[in-house]
Amino acid sequence: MTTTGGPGDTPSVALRTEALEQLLTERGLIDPKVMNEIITQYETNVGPLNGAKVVAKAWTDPGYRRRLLQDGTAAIRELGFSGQQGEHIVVVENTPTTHNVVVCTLCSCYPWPVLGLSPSWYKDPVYRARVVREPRTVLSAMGLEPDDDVRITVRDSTSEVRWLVLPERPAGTEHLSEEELVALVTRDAMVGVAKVTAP
Amino acid sequence: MLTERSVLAPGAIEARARNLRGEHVAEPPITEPARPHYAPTSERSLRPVDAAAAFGVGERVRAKSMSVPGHTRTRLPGYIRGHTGVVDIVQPAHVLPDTNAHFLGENPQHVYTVRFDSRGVWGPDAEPFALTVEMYESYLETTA
Repeated sequence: MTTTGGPGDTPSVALRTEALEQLLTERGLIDPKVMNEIITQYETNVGPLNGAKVVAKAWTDPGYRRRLLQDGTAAIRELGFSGQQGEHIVVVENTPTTHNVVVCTLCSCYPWPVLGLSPSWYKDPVYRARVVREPRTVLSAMGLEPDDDVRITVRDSTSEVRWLVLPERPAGTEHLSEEELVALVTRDAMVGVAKVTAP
Repeated sequence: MLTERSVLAPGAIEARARNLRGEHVAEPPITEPARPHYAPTSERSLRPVDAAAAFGVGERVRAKSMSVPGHTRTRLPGYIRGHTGVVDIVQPAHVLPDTNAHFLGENPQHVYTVRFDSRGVWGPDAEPFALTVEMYESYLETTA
């Protein structure tokens, strides 16, 4: 017995998506092999490790940090990262007094070349609706409590501009190499819903 | 949009989805797509525009609240309509999705990162913070 209802029920979103893919494939409008390649590419080859490399380089190379904050797209391309959803990336820095957090209230715009595909919470209507309204409450629920004097800026990605947060380098990491720093940088810190912590 | 353009007949997805779960329903016949006379001028979204940016960094601007007949502002969030902010960054021009997505032209225009104060948007009891939203030039008006 399945739990899907009788003929009167509307088929599930998953089934409707499969139906749409089949119909468009039969009409020669999409190629499932290409779709699978895109998914594999962004699930396995491109991910937050790219962004972590960008952040660790900015932490250890002041010249790179300057270029990154001035022209994010170009500085990120220096490390070989570019492509879809990364045509124009703006990098903003979190400091002891300023905290940036990124959202797309309209859908789920996200800088793929440096962070890969977005996590499900980023696409959640609750996160999208609430973080532009009460960011401190949302960050607190996600385990981050910025001090009262920290100025919070919420970045709503409503156009082709993509935002990447350069997190604050944690104290006590002065002796670590760039490579060791890469391992500390998390996806959530680069969206601005977490801080990077020392090992 | 796929049914509007006759790429798929109305009900085609529903019928196929039902068949996928084991029902036997008739699917509508394959339609002849109405192809728009339309080709993008570049595969990406950024476009150079000749016109100078209408607004400058530091200028006060208001997000339009009235919708223009025949146009929907697909990338202007509802919560920001009618509110006043300050231009923070003039971004490179992009194609306007409102028309581009409907085969009505690329309509490239300047895009602005506009900074709003949370209490202006959500009222005096809101948490104090800043909010930036990217706005296509046609979404904005001066506050004179």
